[in-house]
Amino acid sequence: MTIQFTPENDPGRLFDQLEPMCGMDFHRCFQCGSCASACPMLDHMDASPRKIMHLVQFGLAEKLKTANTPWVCATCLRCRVICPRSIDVPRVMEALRMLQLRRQQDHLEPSRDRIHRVSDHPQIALIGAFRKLAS
Amino acid sequence: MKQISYYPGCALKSGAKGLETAAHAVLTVLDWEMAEIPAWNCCGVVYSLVEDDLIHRLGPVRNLIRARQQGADSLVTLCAMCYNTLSQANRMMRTEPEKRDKINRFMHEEPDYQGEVEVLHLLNFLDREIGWEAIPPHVKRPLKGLRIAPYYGCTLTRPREVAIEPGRNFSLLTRMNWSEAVMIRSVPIRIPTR
Repeated sequence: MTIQFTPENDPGRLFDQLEPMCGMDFHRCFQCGSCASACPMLDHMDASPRKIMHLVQFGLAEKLKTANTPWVCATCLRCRVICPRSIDVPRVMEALRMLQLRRQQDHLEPSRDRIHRVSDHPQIALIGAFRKLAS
Repeated sequence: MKQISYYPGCALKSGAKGLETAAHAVLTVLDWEMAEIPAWNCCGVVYSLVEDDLIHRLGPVRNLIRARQQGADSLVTLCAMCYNTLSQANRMMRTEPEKRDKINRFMHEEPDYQGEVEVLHLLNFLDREIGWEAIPPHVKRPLKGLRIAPYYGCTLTRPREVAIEPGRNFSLLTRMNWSEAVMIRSVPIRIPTR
């Protein structure tokens, strides 16, 4: 894949937003994929946590916006525990969610997405979903 | 009867009502009463991870203040999610002075809070305060022959700083089942360390 850096996809712009939210050096990640191997939600993701870290390292904000990974992340913290470079991957996922939610780009919108049989879902799952997927 | 402050959370009042009933009943037999804290609110469910998102941590901190106002040194939870958000928020109030000050200033109508309350899951409470050896005399119907798989889940075990046990191997539930002193006599099935 050829990556063309333009003023629009300047990695610095994404770092400026993500770094204060995450407080870590994304370049510490050496792409071993331990996070992906530990992830219980991997089958439902279109890009693995490892790939997301790679996209973050290159500052490819547009590609990150289209990945479903942060929305699928269960925040179970298995990747954080297993990472040999002590990178807090769930925090990066949360920051990526926040970047969109703070622009009112909700991933879950009750008036748009019909939540079937609300009463069938545990209350805690609904609150958890709104907390993570809506602003 | 001795008292311990208790934070229920939404699940214990709806889908998991049975767990609350059972916990009340068990502790009553052991001469303890779980005193529900007044005016509790949502625990936050999923602890917010980013540095600049403190608003989602106000809920759990407010609950800890309610417990403190009740004169509590410790607060028991039954729900794993509540345990996680309350203890992570508590840890932040203890270890991150900048965030603590910001939150205390923002909630100026509340008394200042610095993490004085200890958050305990019921398993910790049974282990530390009651002791597994206190349980056998009260067993009326041993669960003999029952095969039990202890499942701790994500939020009781991670992050490590707030896990119900230190280290990677979790044994609280098997301690209750294995111990010869505890004549529950069920057979725990070991799940490989997660």
